[in-house]
Amino acid sequence: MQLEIAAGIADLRFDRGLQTFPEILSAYLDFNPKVAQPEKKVVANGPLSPADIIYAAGALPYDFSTHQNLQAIFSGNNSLSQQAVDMLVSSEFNPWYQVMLGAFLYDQNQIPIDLFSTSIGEFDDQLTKSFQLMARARSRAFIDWEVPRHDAPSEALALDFLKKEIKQFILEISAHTGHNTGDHDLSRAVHAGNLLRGDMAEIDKLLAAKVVPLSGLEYYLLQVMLGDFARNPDGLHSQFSLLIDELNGRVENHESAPGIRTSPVRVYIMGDETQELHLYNSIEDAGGVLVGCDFRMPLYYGLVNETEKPVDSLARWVWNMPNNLPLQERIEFELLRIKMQKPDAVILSNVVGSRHLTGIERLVKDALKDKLGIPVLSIETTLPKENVDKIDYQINALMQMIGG
Amino acid sequence: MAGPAVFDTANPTAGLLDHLDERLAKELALIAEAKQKGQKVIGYFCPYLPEELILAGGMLPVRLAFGGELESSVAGEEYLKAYSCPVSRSCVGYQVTGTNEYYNLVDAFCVTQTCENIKHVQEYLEKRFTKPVFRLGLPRTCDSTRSRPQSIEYFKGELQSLRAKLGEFGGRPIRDLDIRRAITLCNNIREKLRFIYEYPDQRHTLLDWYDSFKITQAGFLMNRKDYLKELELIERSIIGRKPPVEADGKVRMLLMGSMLGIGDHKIPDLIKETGGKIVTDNTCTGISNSRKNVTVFGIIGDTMEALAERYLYNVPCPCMTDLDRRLKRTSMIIQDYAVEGVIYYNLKYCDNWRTEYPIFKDYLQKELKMPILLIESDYSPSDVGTIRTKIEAFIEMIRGI
Repeated sequence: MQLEIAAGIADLRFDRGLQTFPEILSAYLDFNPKVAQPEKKVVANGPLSPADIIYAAGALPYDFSTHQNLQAIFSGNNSLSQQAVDMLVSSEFNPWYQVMLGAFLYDQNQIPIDLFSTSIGEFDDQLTKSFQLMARARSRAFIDWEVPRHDAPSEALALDFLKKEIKQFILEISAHTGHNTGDHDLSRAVHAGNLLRGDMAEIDKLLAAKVVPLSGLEYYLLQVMLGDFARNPDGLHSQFSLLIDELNGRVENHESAPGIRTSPVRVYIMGDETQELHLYNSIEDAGGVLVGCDFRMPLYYGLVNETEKPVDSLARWVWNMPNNLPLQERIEFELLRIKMQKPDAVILSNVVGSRHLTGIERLVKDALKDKLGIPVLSIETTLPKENVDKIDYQINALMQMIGG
Repeated sequence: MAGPAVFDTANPTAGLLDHLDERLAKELALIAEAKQKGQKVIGYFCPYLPEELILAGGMLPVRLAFGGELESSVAGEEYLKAYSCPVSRSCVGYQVTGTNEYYNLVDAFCVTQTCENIKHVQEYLEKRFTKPVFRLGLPRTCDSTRSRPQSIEYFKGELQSLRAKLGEFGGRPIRDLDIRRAITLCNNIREKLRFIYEYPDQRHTLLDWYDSFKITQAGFLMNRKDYLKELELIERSIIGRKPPVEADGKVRMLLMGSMLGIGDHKIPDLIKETGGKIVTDNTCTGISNSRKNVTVFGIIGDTMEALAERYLYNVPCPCMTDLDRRLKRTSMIIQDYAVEGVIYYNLKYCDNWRTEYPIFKDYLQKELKMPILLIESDYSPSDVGTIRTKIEAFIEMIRGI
């Protein structure tokens, strides 16, 4: 996809000064594993399910939902959501999954999927059920593994269960790939994943600086691409390393990303991942800068311990993923992360149709106000380009309030 | 205890549930009285929670499966967004408004981790209200072929943990002996309910589904020992009576889908009014509650193992990934009850049921040539007209008009 002429993003402002980012993004959008590695099985993987295990089992973990949605956004294809509804998918669904289902059920996904897999926990029922629906519609296998609820007193029980689930998951994926997956494979995959997680942590550190060298839109897209191992994760790490070098160069020159004003209002975003990519530009246009975003943070919140048995360390890491934490612990965890990024305001993103924040928005908002003492703005978005004016208005109002 | 009303041959079901109704009307006062004597009341929401543990702890279980009230679901929007399911909004709404006496009498909640909506209810109950909340983890990836032994191990561990917490809350450890007694009581209740539900299995019924459903839901609230007595009374009244033989000409319907709460009459009433007749259901507040007993090992062997086995492998809710079993079970119900049409009831924003609708539609139409109608609704009366029209058209289609 040629980004310069992509219809869906004509109104978006990208950072043209970065050399590496357009290469990473183009490669991501155009990637087709059936061309790059035709012998490999493509496993559609949930956006917040770690890819390490599938990769270790010799398959290509592919974040189908995100890739399909971003392709649709970039190419300006607005019809997939309605197509899903035409195929009896609920019109009340999260638009991310509507688009994914619309593309798949109408055979418009460009990447053929061999099987579906996702972790199942106290999060994202819609994704689990959507994967199950798609697998059934095209007679593909659906392989799931469970992440038990997080409750400190039952840690031993939960981790024992989770380890067994991971081992069974490895066996089931391996049965499809024909790969005899051992600890060595898993350790190697975890190491590759850790390099990427480390890259993202490095980028977060750069955003915590006074002069922010990376724009919000690029930052969000980097988070998205981090979790997708469908391309060679080692190669992706090399590209991320080059990008980090570029960003460090900007920091050394006290140069912020283009579009970011001097002394901007520092904004942290949390909540539901929005399809309204204009949000990131809007923040900068109004005099702000994005200094953190938790949409994909569960994937890189910390490194997987590489010194113990890989299944054990992966189980502990997965169990402690922020999206699996009970609300209070999650809020406390988020507060630590937020404080590190030193924001002046927090934006709480709601996506109509998503159930992640439907129940906790008010609790989170109250906690943020109480503990941080900074303004919190709730926004609500739907499909891309349907919320631009409203978002501009809200962001401007926030900036004016903070600015005086 | 007085018996049911005298048998009237012209109207064989007349008075059959009067005694139950009278008893149920006193329930709130009886619970309040029990509380005054020091007995604790535990509210729970989901049938994956073994109420045997509550009973064994000397406490009163109340299944808070209420629904159908617009006011409570709107009140819940103070905390939960309007695009959370009406059940979850009502759960919070009742706490906010204080209008549901059963909620008011509850001393603690048990919440099974089933779906995102219920998870948010639990988070609010924990954060905003003062009553203790005990969580129960539920492994959702288990299947009926038992291909994942770790699921039952984990669930058993979760039940052990719940047992310990309930014991602590109730002021005494929960003994195996008490669990065995509770299992026996609950098994007896399930057997009686199965007997009652078998009646609609016949073409001509004495107790119709509406009665059976009402009887089942009474059991969510009543003292379980008294409830068993009521069921025995109803059973004795039924035995020997013959249903009318003439066909009523109504279309036999299966009602399946989201939780049909106590008080959520909209869809059953509309089906009745439009010439349909529900003969069975596949909902978590209906027939599935009584489907399976705890095995004898619960009484003579490992109680917790037997409880875990019964509750984990009963009819799977769509929050579980065992879709094949749900399809087979539905297919079996359709055949057993000579169903002519399926109403798929989906409470808005109940994602687990809603996502499976295309699968059920495809399966039932291809495998059984069974017509199916999706009804999406909430607790608002505003869509009654539209739904009525849909059901009327559906019935006409089945009748070939």
